[in-house]
Amino acid sequence: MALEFSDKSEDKFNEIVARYPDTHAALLPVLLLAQSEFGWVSVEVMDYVATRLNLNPAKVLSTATFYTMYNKQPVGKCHIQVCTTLSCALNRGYELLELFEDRLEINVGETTHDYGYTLSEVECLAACGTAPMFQVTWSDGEIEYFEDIDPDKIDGVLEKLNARLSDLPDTRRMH
Amino acid sequence: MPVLTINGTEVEVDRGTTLLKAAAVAGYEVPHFCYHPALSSPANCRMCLVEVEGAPKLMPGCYNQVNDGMIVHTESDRVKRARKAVLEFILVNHPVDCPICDKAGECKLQDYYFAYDAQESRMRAEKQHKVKVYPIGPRVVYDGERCILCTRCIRFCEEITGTGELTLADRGDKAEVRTFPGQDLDNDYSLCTVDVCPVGALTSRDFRFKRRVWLLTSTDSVCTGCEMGCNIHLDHFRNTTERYRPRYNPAVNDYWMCDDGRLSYKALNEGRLEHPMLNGAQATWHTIAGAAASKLAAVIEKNGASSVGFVISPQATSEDLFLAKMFAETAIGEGVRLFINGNDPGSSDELLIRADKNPNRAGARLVFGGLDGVGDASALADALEAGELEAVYMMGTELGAARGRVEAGLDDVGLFVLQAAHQGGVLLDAAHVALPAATHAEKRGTFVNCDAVVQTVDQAYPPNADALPDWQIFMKVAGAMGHKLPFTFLRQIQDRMFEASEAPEPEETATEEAPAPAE
Ligand code: SF4
Ligand code: SF4
Ligand code: FES
Ligand code: FES
Repeated sequence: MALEFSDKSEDKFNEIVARYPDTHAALLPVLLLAQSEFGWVSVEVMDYVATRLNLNPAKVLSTATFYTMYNKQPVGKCHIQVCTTLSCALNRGYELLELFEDRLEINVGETTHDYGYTLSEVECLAACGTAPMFQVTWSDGEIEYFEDIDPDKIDGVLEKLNARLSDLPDTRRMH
Repeated sequence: MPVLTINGTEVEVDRGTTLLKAAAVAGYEVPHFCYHPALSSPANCRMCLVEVEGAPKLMPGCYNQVNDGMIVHTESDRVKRARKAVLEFILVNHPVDCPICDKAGECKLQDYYFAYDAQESRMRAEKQHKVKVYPIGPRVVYDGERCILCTRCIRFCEEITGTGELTLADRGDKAEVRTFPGQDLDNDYSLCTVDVCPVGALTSRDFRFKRRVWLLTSTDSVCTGCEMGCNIHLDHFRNTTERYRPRYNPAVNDYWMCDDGRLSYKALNEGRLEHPMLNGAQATWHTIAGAAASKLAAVIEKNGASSVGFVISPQATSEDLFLAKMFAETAIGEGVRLFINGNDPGSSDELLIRADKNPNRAGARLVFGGLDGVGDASALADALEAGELEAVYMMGTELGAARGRVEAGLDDVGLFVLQAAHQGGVLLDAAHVALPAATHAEKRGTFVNCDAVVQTVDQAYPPNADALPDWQIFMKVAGAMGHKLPFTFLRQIQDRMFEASEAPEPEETATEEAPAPAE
């Protein structure tokens, strides 16, 4: 099935491309847009982006595989990214990570069976003042920060995350 | 122009010259991996670090440009320590499988290791494993573990062929050269990536595991695949050519050659005509020359020279063609019907590949004073079909699309003399007299390329079996017919030839003239 941006993404796409002197420069934001539209960055998605930006697909492959923020495999509807860089590490960031592992019953880097959650460990997300923190990328493309987390209240946090899951698309079926 | 001091030697170079090139002018080679004289400089390997007085840090010589008054050291302790550190870093994950690596013996990593590192590895951790025998294209195999990520191969495909098949994928110690899924490294020059790869990460599927390179002897020669005449190193082992590699010549092929041309070396070793043959039986040069002479003389006497078709080859050297001309004029005589055979035209491009798949049509034109009135292979077939020829004397076996018709027509001639390096299938069966000729690996000679560049090939090894250079064969047969052609040495032919034609004498090839920037 040939991929195609929705009307909304198409508008966004044109807006992004207009911001840059050439299409190569627009590659990073367009890949992010494509990820939110198609759930994950498959080879088909890279090819589509290359066509849309008139770039050599090999260049897109290179960029998409260099950055970890592009998911080259389907991820959970809720992609939890826990920071374990200095400030967060000193403020129980690792504990937070381990608690997620325990509650979700997966190891870091893994996805739950129902593709509800993926858990990742990431470097500093520039919210050091409110450590510990984690970022969530929802499968509809929205990015949300959760700051000043008290690991003892992890279950409450998870409840909040859970509440959103049912409305979200399954990345495996987004293209 | 800026004047700078490199290791105590003052040099004056153009503004914009890199420190690495300036050092070459001063006579110092700065070791390098990612830099290649024909490609852009990403300065990613750090092997070329040099010391510039007053600068706080060492600088990559392949990228930084000269300034007036700079004082540069390329051999100081600080520089050498840096080289050692860079090599140790590159070797962290390198498999060091030199004993089974085709590049061993001509590998920059190996050479620099012995020159600047030469210590036992201090790494005790398991090495990162990556893809090992990956067929990245139909003619090239990739070994991710040996790859030092210099990106030369990637830049070759982007900047020289413009095809851009290759890219660097993933990051850190997982980074690898890759193609986009579903694509192959399959451009017409893909084997040049094997040349530019400083290590054994890209190997030729044709040459892999065939020969340790230090057993090969290299001879300066020219590719005969098309009229471009790319300059090559012809590498042989025990009288067999095992590979071609491009030889730098900015006037012709720069550092490159096409894949078809590169693999055309195989023809030098296959299907050779080994011995003189008389009506299908092996003969000696003495008897065969006499037999050829008397048969030819009989036809000429009976039906005149105009009943003889004499076929020259655009695959032959100019010297051989010069003798062919003398042979036709003296031994056969006025009225002889001239033809030229050769490979049919093929594809061409903007880079090197030319449509005429013969190396010396320009040489033939110069020697014969133009080729107007000289029919091609299909004209030969026409003449044969019309029964106009009693005898055919042919150099070479390349007949292109007219092959079938010529073969059929040859059945009816009273005398067919084949003088060729190859048996040419049915042609040998049809030949009453077959004279084995040397290939361009087995003799010296001159080719003139499509841009009128006159180029010499050197002899790599003696002619196979009983073969002789064409010019010597012509002298033998002419001699047996009572026409002594006055040459003993190739040089004498060349003197006469260059005098007779407008062609300039070949200049020394550029590689010998000016020091080429090291690849
Ligand atoms: S394959 Fe060779 S040329 Fe290409 S990046 Fe690796 S080491 Fe460099
Ligand atoms: S371009 Fe022509 S001369 Fe050059 S390598 Fe190819 S076939 Fe040989
Ligand atoms: S250290 Fe965690 S956000 Fe900066
Ligand atoms: S950094 Fe200069 S040769 Fe690689």
